[in-house]
Amino acid sequence: MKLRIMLGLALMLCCFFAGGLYIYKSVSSMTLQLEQLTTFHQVESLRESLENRIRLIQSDLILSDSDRPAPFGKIISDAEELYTTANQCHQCHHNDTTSSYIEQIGRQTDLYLKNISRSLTMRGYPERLQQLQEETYHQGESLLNLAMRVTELSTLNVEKRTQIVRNSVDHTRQIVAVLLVVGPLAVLIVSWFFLQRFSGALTSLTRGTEELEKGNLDYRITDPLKNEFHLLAHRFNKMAASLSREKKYTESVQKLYRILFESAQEAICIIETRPQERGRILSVNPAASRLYGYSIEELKTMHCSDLAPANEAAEFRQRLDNMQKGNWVLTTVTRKRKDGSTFPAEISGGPMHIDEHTYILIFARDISEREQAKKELLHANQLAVAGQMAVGLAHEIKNPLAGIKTTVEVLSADLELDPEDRELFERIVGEVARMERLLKNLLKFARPPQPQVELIDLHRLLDYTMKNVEVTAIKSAAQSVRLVRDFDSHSILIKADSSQVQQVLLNLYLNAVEALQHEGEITTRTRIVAAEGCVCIDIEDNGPGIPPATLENIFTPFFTTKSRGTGLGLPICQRLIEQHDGKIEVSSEPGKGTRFVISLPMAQRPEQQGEHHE
Amino acid sequence: MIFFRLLLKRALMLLLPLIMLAATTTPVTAQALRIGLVPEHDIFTQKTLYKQLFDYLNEQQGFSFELCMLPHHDMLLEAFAGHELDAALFGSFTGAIAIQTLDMIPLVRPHFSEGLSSDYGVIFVRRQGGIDGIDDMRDRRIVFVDPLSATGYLLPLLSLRDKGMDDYRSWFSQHYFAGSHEDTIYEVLKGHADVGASKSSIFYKIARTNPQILEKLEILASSAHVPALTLGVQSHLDRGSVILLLETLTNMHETPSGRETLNNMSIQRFITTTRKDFLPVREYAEQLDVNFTDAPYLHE
Repeated sequence: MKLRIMLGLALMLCCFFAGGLYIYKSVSSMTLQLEQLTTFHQVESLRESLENRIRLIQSDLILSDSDRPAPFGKIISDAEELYTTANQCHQCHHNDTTSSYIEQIGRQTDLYLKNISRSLTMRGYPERLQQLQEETYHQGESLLNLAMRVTELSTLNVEKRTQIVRNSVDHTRQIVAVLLVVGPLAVLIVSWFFLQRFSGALTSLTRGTEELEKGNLDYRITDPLKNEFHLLAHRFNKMAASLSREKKYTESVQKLYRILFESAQEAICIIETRPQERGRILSVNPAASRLYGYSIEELKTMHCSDLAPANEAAEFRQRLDNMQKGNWVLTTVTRKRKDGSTFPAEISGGPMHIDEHTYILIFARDISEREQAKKELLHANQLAVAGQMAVGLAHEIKNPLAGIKTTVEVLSADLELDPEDRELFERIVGEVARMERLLKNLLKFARPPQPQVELIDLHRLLDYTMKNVEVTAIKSAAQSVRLVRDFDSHSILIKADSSQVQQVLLNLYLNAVEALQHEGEITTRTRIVAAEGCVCIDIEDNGPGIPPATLENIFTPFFTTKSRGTGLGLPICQRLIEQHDGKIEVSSEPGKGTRFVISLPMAQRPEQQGEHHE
Repeated sequence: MIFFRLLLKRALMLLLPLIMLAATTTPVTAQALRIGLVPEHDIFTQKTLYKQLFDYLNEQQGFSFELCMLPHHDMLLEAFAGHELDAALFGSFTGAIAIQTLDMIPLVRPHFSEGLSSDYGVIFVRRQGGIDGIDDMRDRRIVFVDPLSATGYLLPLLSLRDKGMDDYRSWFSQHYFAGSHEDTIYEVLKGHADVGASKSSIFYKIARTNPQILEKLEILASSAHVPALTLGVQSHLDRGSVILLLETLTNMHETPSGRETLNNMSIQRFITTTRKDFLPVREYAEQLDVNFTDAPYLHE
């Protein structure tokens, strides 16, 4: 293309030079011809002047014999002018014919002048003088004729040359006009040709870049471009293909990371660090939304401190500063959900640099279950320790206590004792008996007996137990406590040790009765939770409820609020239920009552019993 | 000694005209000097011939000249006497008259290439014209140059008288004046006259370009020598200008352009001319009883 452009420019330059040269040459030639024409006209004028001079001298000669002859000086002057004019004619370039005439004129002029001279100087011989004057006059006439002939010839020549010059001028004018029209036209055509080549190619390339700008990386230049533009288009297509590949790769990587981000089980938050927006949540993943209970859009409008409890605000800011300084932080904190509830969370976070800007990346996970498991493990460990201690202690104390009891009973029977002393002996026996029960319970807690599983009807067991409570606990206390049955309409079969389940139920009822003191209501509900394949037994009273501090440790061994309690009742219940792969939970609201929920696996699914339950 | 004599002679020759200019003079102004000239050749050739001389003077000294051609010698004297001319080229006869009657100061005359600075008159006839002597001329036609020409009238007449002619007016059937030496020669050559009288220098000069002259014409007699054509000036002209003019003319053969001009005129150099040189002419005139003071213009 460069070569073609250079060639095109060189060609145009040559055309310009050639045209300019031709115009210059034409104008020069035309000027020369016009100068010649002017010269011809001057010559014509000269010839006319020659004729006039001759006529003038002839007149002078005629007048020489008259009364008023021409002055000698004038004749001399006229003759000299004639000589000068004739010589000027002689100096001009002529054709052969004209030159011959001009030479004749020259010769005849010389003779004429000599005769004029003689005519002017001769004296003393009138006849000869007259003869001489006549001869001179005739010579003058002859010269005049010759001059006229030459003038005619010259006029013809001048006309011919004028015509030739005029034709030449016309021709030159036409050529110059053609050049002036054709030259710019040729330049326009060549320029148009190059512009087409350039603009077509550039349009194609521009369209390509526009398509790329729009994001159409699959666009390729298919126009048949030439030379460097072809190479440029080829490179452009390769670049577009490369960009397309890069884009796909980037998209796939982005998608991968997006999936990782969105499918991560840990909550991920990206936090702004710019001073004016420091702490603002820029991006979160769905796990974060699930964790905190806010939608993603809501989270993006929030400050990360909004997710922390108010009492941790100062600590939170300190932690954020630490992360912004470039430290990676791993810690356990408390976080707050949308519903206001809090949960323990393990967070790890630190700085993230993107395009010279620093963000804070925070991963968070709910560790409630882990904490619960830890607590349960601790509880289990406590139980195990307690069990081992209880077993050891029971073995060591049990026999001495039996000996003490027997000895005291024997002594009490054998000795004559005052009533006061006897009461003391009876109190010793009673306390020893209580110690034996304590040991017995401790052994139960530590080594609960293996359940003797059988298929039992839960409702019958509940009804039986409730009747026993009504007979033993309520009647005797003469309390106004009602036991309400709200059983599921379907019979429920469970595989369990009926005595152990009954022991648990009895314990709960007795605690409830004790909590109600004089009057109240104890409601027992059964619910089948088909989805989990279990049945829930709710035992709820409307008593004064349990304070939170107590509620938190209600299943802790040896924890009791009763003056004579062992603190092993509810822990034993929990262990018995857990031996049945069940679960016991408690909830209470001070002033409103307490609710225990026992979950036990069902022996048969409701549908297996021929009905569906919810 | 000879050298010193020659030197003294030349110095005197130079100083003489200056001494003659001792009287009151008229300064040469920026106006052109008018130079009178009578034809030796035809009027135009003569003017052209001498124009180059005065162009040279103009170029060398800044003088401007106006050449005034006059058809007859008496007109030249008349114009000089009337102060229409500041200077003129005088023939020996008119020069002698002007010196005597018009107080003309002669300056220079040519020294020709042939080594002469003088001219003499020749009487010529056509060969086979039947004229061999003075007797054959009787009743023939004679053409002179001018009545005031020494070589073209005065001297030939003396020669003819010496040969036995008493009065030319009766001796010849026709006498007339052609006006120039050249025309005189051609009048005889072409048969318009039988006998002609002219200046020897012109005769031979024309003979060099026209072989017919020597082929067809025959010189029958020659006269004594007289000074060649002499440049003379008015006595009242500015002395300094005249000296400058004199020096330029006498030294022009020493410059290349001057030599070229002289060559074109067939002149070797210009030499100083004194009044004394014209004394013989006066004697010749007296022999023919010509009184210089008879000229009518002298009495106007």
